[in-house]
Amino acid sequence: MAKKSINLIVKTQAETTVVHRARKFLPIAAGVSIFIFITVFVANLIYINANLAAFKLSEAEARSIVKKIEASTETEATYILTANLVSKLNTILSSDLNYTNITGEIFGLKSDELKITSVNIDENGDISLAITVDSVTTLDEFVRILIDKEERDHKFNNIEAHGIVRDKDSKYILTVILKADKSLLQ
Amino acid sequence: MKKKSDYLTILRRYEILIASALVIVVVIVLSWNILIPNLFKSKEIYLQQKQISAQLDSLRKKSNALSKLDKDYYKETLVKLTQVLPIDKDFVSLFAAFDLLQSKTGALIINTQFQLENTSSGPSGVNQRETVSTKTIPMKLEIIGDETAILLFLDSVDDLAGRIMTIENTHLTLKEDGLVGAQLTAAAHFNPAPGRAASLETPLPTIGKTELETLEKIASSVVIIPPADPQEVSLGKEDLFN
Repeated sequence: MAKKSINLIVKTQAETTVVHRARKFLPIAAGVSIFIFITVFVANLIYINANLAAFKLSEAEARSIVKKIEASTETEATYILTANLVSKLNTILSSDLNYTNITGEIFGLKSDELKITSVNIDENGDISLAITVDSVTTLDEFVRILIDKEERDHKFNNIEAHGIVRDKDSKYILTVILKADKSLLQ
Repeated sequence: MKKKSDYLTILRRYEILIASALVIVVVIVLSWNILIPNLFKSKEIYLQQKQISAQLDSLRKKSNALSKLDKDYYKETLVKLTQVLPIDKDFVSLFAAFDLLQSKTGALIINTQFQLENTSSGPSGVNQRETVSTKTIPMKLEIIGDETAILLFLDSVDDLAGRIMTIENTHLTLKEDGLVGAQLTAAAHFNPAPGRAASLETPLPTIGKTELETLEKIASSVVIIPPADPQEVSLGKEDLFN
C-alpha cells in the first residue's frame, strides 16, 4: 500500500510593513472614530433637544410679552409722542432768547432828567437807544453809569453814542448803540 | 473552485483590516451626511437662541417700562403739550395764548400780523424758518402797557402756560404818559412730525430730568382748551327788531 501524504500547514506569506502596521492601527482607528462619532452625535442630539425646548419656551414667553406690549400700544404711542414733543420743546427753549433782563436793565437807566424814547433789541443782543437828556451833567452821569455797566457789571459792551444834537428846548438828543452781554439774553 | 478558495483565504487573512476600513468609511459617510448637518443645525439653534434671548430681554425691559407708565398722566399731559407745541398751525391755541397773556400781564395786544402760508412772503421780510425740525409761524405783535406789563409779557411768552412763542427782536417806544408800546417780531412754533411708532423691540425713549421738569411745568400750568361746540356758539338774536 502506497503512502499518501497531506500537507495541513497553511502556506505562510510574508506581510509587508504597511499591512503589518495597518493590522495594528486600523482597528484602533476604527474603534476611536466610531466612539467619537457616537459621542458627538449623541451630545449633539441632547444639545438640540434641550435648546429646542428652551427656544420654544423663550418663543412662547416672547409671544406673551408681545401681546402685553400690543395691549399697551396707546400708552406707548402717547409716551413716545410726549417724549418727542418735550424734547423738541426743550430744544426751542434752550435756544430761546430772554429779552426781559435786557429790557429791565434799559428801563432802569431812565430818570426824570433822562428819557429813553425808543429801544431796539435784536436777536444778537445789539441794542439801539434813542435818548433825550435834560443837561450835560445828566449826560455825563449817564455815560458814567454805562461805563460802570460795561467795566464793573459786564452787562454791556461796545458802547457808542451817535448824533448828539441839542434841540430848541436845550435838551440833548442822542442815539446810543451797545451790545448786551450774552448772559443777559439767557 | 480554486480561485474562490483563494479569495476566501485573502478575506480571512485580512478580515480585521477590511472590517476596520469599512467602519471608518461608514463613520465618514455618516458624519458627512448626518453629523455635520446636525452640527450646523445646532449652531443655527444657538444663534437663534442668542437672538431670541436678546429680543426677550428688550421686550421684558419695554414691557416693564410700559407697565410703570402712568397712562392717565401722559394722556392728559400730551393734550396740554400739544396746546403748547401743536402738530399744526392751530390758530385756536395761538389766540387762546394771546388772551391768556393779556389777562396775565395786563398788556394789551393791539395788532397781530401772521404769515399764513409757508410760501407767501411775510410781513416786512419775515420768513418762515425751521428750528430743530419744528416749524414756525412768523408774526408781528404790537402791544401796549406800562413797563411792568411789558416786562411781564416778555417774560411770559415762553413760560409754557400756553402756546410756545419766541421773540426775535423787539422795538419799544416809551411814551410821555408812561406807557410803553412794543413791536415784537416773534414766532409761534408747531411740530408737524410728531414722531413715528417704533418697532416692538425698540426701547422706549427716555425723558431726561430737564424734560421731566418741563412736563411737570406744563402739566401744572396749562389749562386744557375744550373743543368748540357749534351748538353752544351764540348766534345772536333770532328777531333783529325785538
